[in-house]
Amino acid sequence: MEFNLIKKITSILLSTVFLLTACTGGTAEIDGAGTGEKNNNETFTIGISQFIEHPALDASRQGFIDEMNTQGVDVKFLVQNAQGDITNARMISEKFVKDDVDLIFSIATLSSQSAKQAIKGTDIPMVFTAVTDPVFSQLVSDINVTDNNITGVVDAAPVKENLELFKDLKKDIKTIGIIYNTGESNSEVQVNKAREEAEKIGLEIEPVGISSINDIPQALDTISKKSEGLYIITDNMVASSMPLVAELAKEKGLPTVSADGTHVDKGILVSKGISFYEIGRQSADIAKQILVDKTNISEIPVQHSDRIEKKVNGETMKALGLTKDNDAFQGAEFVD
Amino acid sequence: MNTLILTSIEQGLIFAVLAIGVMITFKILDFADMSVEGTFPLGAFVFARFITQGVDPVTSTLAAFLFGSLAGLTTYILNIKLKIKALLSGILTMTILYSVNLRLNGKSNVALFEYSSIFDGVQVVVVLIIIAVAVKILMDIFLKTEIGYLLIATGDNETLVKSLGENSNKYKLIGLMLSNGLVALSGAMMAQYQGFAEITMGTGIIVVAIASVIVGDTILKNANLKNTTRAITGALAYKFIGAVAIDLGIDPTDLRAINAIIVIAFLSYNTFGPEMSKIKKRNRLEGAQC
Amino acid sequence: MLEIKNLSKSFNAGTCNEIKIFSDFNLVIKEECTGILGTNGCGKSTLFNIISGVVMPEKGDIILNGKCINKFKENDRAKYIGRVFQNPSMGVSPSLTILENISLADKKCQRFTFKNLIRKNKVGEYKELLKALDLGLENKLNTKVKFLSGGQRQSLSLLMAAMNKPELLLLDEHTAALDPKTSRLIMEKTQELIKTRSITTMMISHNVKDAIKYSDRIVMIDGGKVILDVKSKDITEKELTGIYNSRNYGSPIAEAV
Repeated sequence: MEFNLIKKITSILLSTVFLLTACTGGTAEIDGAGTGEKNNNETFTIGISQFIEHPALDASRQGFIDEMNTQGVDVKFLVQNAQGDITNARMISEKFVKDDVDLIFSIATLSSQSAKQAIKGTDIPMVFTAVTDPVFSQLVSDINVTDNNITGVVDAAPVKENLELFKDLKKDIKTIGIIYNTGESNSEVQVNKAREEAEKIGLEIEPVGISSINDIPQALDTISKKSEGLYIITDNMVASSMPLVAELAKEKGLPTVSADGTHVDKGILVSKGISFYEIGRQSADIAKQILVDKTNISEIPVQHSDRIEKKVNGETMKALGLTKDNDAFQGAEFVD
Repeated sequence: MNTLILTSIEQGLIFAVLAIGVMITFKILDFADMSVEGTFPLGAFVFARFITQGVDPVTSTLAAFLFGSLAGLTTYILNIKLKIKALLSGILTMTILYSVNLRLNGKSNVALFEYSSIFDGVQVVVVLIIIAVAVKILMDIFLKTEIGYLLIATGDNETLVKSLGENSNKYKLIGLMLSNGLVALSGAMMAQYQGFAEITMGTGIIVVAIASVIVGDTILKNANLKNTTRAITGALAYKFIGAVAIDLGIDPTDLRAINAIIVIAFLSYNTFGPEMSKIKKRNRLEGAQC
Repeated sequence: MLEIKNLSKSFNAGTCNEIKIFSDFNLVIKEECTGILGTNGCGKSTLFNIISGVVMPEKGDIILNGKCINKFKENDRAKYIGRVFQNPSMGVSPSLTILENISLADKKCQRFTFKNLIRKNKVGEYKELLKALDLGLENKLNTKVKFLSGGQRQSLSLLMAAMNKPELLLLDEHTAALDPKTSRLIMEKTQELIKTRSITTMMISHNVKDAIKYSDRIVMIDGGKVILDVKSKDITEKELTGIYNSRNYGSPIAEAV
């Protein structure tokens, strides 16, 4: 008798928790509070589809939302995160289609590819970001042509300029190592790009692939034996273990260069590149053009980031025996 | 709810084929075959390889099934010929497949938007229903044959199989190949559905498959439903639950936990719900008569 | 007829734990029911394992009706040998129904194909076979075996092992796990089965009364050797118990019901 009661109570408790959370689930909807002048009385609904929790992707999302608010556009944001599950990403996009959103903002390749399938046959425009090569991912057929309601801002780093930094950091440097997750297509693209650009300036790339974060120490070991520097690309697995990678590289005396400023905060020596927050802002600007200015999306080809930032980690700099007046650090922001 | 329900049915049907495959090894053969995590994307990448070489979608999809069954053969060789424990054999196959999958197209993500698929010109859900039902019917027929029964007996009691004059290993091979073939088929279907083959699509797929099988077992558990029917209903229910969670607009950070809670609530209702209390009431009344 | 010639088998050979179970062991089993008795660990079950091919001996020949089956694997020997184990679940497929189990046993050692297993025209025949067991199983054809009692499962195992008249039937303490009443029922049915089909049978038992009542010949093994070989009508329960106890060093023996 008693046991029965316990079972009943448990079921009720669980159902209550479920219902409560469902009710408070409204936090996924963010109402844009325009801080600037309101352009007009139109309210737009934008569905934001993020693939996974990740500082860079989170930054892009925030940049997008902030810019919409700054520009005074009245937006209701529907924010969803696929938690790394491709089938979820598709369902999220389908939900946005069902909710008849005015625009979908997708963050990262897998969310974007999933959204592309969902908007087929609809006239919902899509703006992506945090995608490295939209032609490779077939989001667009040509980087300069927008013909299927999809455009966006790529997160491609200024590779050649980054590699050139190494020449200032270590005299007569010949080989640069790259650590990357063999399972991320964006990373392969970047490794190949790095090889291409390195060749142009007389350097060689020695890439070392990993398939799990447990492989990192060994990979760094290999790199320190074969290369004299470490180039950090935009790779989710490496990004998730940045403090470890930075620490190991520092121990082995390898100068490290990245395209992402948040990496420098975690110990990487110097960064020159895009800010994920900035490309989020840039995407919002595109969205505003489409929604408010009524610009036809086909007139907006895919864009590269228009702001390059430089950052240096002072502690790492000292540990590697370098000083502030090194050419590589010109015009950089110093952090510890 | 329309497009969302449709999406959950579509994904549910793709996972139904996966669940039927996993049911063969996990449930019938009692063999925890972890290679599934590598075989699912294998199907996707094999399809991608063939379709990008100009082969038609149907043949490419069938090729995925074929290569999937080869993965099952690999696990068999590791387990039976090299005498490696079942769990480890599956993990080894899965590990090998990771590299194989990357090498098949030289990329970890192959976009398929520009290529034809089995869904061309037809309603996606119709094609999926046809495939899922066809797989179910063929499997039901197979499990009623002499060889099918020996497969079941192998999972039940190997000694019995030997006493019937048969080599139980032969049936483990059949089970592993059939199972992985279906899993790869499911992967090829998913690749065509989502528009790309992706190396990470196998991560967590075993959880999905097993959850589908378990949910399917619990739905109307006292009814005499075939295993295949349960696998299909389980997969559909599991995906439907996920769709509900997303449609409620739940805070993204809670999505996974809520998914689990909905499944728990669902299962609790089934275990402690009206059906059960009816039976308990009857028992209590009968007891009261002494 | 089964001939066992010069059989040698030891466990943990070459180590300090080496146990020599059999050393040049010889035994001839004729067309009758032979009760195999012996102390625990004397090698009775090992003998059965060697005969059915589960375990390979170091030396020796197993000749069944003129065929030397030394090189046959376990599933190949199953063509000629049926075996019922002490555990009622070892002879059946618990998740399948009685009908499915019997249909499987009916195809024993034939080619298994993609044809349907259950043959409607055979159901009547199976019902008759089950009826003879007097347990009402003929009315439970579609019940899954896992829902049956131990006694019901064991009688089904017996039927399945003996159905196609094997050349040799091995009964390995097949009633030891059952309650006395069921045990007696199974033994009666066993005798019926092997007498009507004239199946050469070897029956391991610890029950002296059963051994005398249900077998034609009693063989007792101790220390890897045959120490007693008599026709059961030529020995009494008391004498047999006496020999048994003297060898058993005080181990309890099953009390006859």
